[in-house]
Amino acid sequence: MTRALFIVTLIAIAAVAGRARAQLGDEEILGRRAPPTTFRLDSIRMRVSSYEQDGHGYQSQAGPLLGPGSERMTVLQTQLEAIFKHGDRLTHRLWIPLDIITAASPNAMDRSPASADVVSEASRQNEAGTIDWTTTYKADAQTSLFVRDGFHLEEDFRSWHAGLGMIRSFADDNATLSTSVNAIFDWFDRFDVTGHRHGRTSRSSTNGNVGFSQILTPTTVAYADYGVTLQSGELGNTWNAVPLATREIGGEILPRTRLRQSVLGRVVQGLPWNGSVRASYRFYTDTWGIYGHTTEVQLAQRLTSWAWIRREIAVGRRTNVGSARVDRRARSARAKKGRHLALRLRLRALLPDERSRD
Amino acid sequence: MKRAVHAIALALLLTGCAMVPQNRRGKLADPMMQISDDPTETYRKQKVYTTREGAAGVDGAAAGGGCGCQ
Repeated sequence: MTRALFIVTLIAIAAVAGRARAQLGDEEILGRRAPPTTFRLDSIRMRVSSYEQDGHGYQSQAGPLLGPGSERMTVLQTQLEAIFKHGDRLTHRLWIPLDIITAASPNAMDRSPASADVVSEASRQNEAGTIDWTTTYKADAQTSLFVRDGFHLEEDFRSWHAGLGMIRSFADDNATLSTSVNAIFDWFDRFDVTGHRHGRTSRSSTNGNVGFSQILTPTTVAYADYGVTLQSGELGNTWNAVPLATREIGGEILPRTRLRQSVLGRVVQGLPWNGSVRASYRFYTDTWGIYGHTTEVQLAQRLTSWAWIRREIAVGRRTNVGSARVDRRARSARAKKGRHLALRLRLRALLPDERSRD
Repeated sequence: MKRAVHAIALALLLTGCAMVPQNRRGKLADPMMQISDDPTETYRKQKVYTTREGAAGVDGAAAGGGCGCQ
């Protein structure tokens, strides 16, 4: 009796196991593969950053008469990024950054239809948001093409941008070349230094970038990037004030064109204790005589298979930022210092397809 | 400016012939080893560059546009 019960139990277990085995198809083991034409959400990421800036400027009312006043500013910046896959070759990226700035920005639109006062209202609150859509097409294993377009909305400020580019890898993916071209058009209110509006004005920017990365060793990668931007039109915010030799306040008089160039060099080195160090140097110059040198060092250490920490130190030096002579009787007076705190929240949404694969 | 461009170009040329096979690039796949900042990090840095030094550009991002308070 006991033996018969044992045999029956064995048969039952074998039947269940066999049935379970029969149910495990390719989809259960490898995950369900989406049809090539399916449009699906791949990931969502959110980032929150905060900045504190301190400095002085002549358009601020928080200071002595004819003297520079405080331009203390706080920025709360949130970013939302969603990646969509459309088949095997198309990837879409929707990016929505939103800035909330407490100071140093006009609050002109809120006072409409009353006369705008961007001088005394320059230390209130400003909200700015952007919608950016980038579509990348993987032409082959080595080449990707992308196009982007977007719209920026701020209180007295509208901006449209569009661009296209290409990424090409060489030498069994040991080297990568990337290029891009962008065009930006800004359209905003024109104010005088007393805060009164005088219609609208605009500026345009055309930008080109070339980047090159190279794997040097199994733990070392180098990268270089060059960017050039030509701007034309109204290049100030129109309401910045500067002291004149006559002991009066006047508006900034800026050139109508500006050519900006920057070069970036970077090396990442893996460390034996499951960490990495990344060193960057960035050089900036433009036709207004401003030079910038920024050196960054980032140390990262992996804690677990899913968590790591990093610490970044940046040292920058700028020349002519606070004394760029643009006119005999006027000079810009923006010498701002700042510190920022970035809190990175990375949320990755795993869809059922991905969970089954993981 | 020219010296910086030349130095970076020379450094890349001197090491540009390196070939690392794919089966030895496991370390490079770690997110800690990313050579480029992710786009959200680039945007944060652009904000700092723009507000602190009146400078912007590089990292695939254009100078200009955006915050009208500069």
